Amino acid sequence: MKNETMSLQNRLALLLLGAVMLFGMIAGYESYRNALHEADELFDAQLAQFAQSLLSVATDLDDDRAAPLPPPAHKYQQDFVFEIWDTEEEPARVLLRSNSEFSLPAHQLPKEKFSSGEWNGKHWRFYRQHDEERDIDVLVGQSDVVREELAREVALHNVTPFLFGLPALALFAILAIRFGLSPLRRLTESLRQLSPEQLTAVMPGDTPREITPVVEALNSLLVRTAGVLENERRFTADAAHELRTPLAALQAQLQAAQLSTSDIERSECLAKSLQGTERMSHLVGQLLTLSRLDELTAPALLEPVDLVELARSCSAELATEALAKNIALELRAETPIEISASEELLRIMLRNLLDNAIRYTPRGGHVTIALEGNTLTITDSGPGVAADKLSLLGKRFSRLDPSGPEGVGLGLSIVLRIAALHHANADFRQATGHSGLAVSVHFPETR
Amino acid sequence: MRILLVEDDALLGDGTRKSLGHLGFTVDWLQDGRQALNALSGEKYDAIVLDLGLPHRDGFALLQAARDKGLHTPILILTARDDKLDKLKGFSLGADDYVVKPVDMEELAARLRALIRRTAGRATPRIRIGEVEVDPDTRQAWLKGAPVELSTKEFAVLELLVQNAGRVLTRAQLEQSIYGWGDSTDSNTIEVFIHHLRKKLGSDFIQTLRGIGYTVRQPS
Repeated sequence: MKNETMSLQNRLALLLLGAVMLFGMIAGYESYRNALHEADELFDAQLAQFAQSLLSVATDLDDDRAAPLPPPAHKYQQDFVFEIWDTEEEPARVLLRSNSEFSLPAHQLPKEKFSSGEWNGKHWRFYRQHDEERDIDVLVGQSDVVREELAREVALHNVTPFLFGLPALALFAILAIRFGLSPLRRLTESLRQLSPEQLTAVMPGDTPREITPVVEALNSLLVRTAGVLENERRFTADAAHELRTPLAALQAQLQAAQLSTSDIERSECLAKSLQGTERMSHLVGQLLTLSRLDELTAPALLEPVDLVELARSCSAELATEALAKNIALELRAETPIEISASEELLRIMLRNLLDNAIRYTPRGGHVTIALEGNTLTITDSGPGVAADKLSLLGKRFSRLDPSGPEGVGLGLSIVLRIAALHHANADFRQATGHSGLAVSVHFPETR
Repeated sequence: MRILLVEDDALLGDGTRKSLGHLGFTVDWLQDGRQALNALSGEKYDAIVLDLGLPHRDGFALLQAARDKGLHTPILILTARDDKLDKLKGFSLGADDYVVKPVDMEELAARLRALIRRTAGRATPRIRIGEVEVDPDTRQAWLKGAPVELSTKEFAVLELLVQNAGRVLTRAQLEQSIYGWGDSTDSNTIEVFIHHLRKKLGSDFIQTLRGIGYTVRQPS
């Protein structure tokens, strides 16, 4: 799983370990603060105890009788100071002090109270106790260094096992993530085995819930893609088939002309050959139109189009064919209907619909174009299509009656494709009241 | 040689019928599978040219129905489908040849003749009866080694007679073989062709069985 961007596994591991470290740090800090608080309580109690003890033993203390204190026995002693004062006279007189070089800021300290303050470059905690009867003041002070060091050590003790466990935790996390991501690897493996020729569903069944939507979306895409590819293959095969037959017809007619000894038959065969080339041109044109439409996902240009005006101009173009067959071509529309569409594509659609209608309508019949709301309906008086065959209309190359009028079976496919590009619905039904087919295209309301 | 052409495409059917006609075949052309099956049970054909995509009855179904009925006529499939599976299916259902469109008409004619020849149990195209030699493939005839000029119909009558040497053919059988549907027939034409053939090939080559028909026989 090597990649330019960070792999899911590394990302998860980093996030997870980062979170663990962050919480470890917070826990360590909290533990330090708790320890500090506890140490404060403990040392404050000691401070008070010590002050009171000093006070109770400080009878008949005189500076000349006071023996000098022995040298400190513990390193913390330097951070522990006391002074005993006689306050009987003014100014007060020191009876005993732990450190002869410094004097505590006694006058600043509140009586009978704990207090904190800067002294001698350190932060201290003080306690002052006063004996009214004997006029003795006892001051004790302890540097915060001791408390902090103690709290630090307690906190460190709490955090140490955690710090040592971190690499093991990281290893475990990475293994767990690898195991957890194994369905993704299996998915990759089964995707790798797919080929455009064989698009089967991947990981059927045992998918973890989290990637089920992905697998399902993928599988539905695969099914659709397989369908599209299958269509494409069939389309190519059908197109080849559809071109082969007119080619064969052309060859047969031309050879018949070549073999014929009669001029009349020869010119007849040549005329039919021309008919064959026309049919092939028509087929190629329709195929190109359809393949062009297939490439589009939306009309290239949407413009306001008046359906009525467009229907009128297309009808006029095809009127010659209708007149030649004595077909009554009629346009029924009241007011202009403006929709947003591609005029070029709609023209192709209308031409195909009209061409079909005129082609299948016998001589003397009628073809009606009706426009109502956003719906265009073309009704012919041809043979119509049986109800059970209606669903076959619009399938590529399906000509329901191959012995019927000339056609290549792509017209309605083109119509359906253009309708779909315009989000319009096309439906085919039997004409009411007479034989014939009615094709309706409902365009959506213009927003 | 009488051929049934089953092809739904109007231009192709028409062109094939005409071309094969010029190449010495009598062609009946049908555009519908169902009609073709009916025609097969009624008429006798030397070979069938069958398209696969047909209205009402698909070519394969027609082929199967024909073989199920015990029809031995050679069947050549002429189709736009070039898929191997279609070809294999065609042959397995009893087709004798499979040709993908478009096809050269002379090649089609040659294939049909070869099929007909094989069905008659011959490997070489030429048929020799006494001093007369006939080649249905090139549509040539020889008398004592010298080529004889014959019209299309004359050759068709001669061909049918030599193909069926030793058997008596009625006038109706001969007529059926040289005229397709819709061809105008004259009740005397067969006699006229026989007369011409006798003039060109010697008077005792074709024998008449009065009131029954005609025959040619290998000299014993």
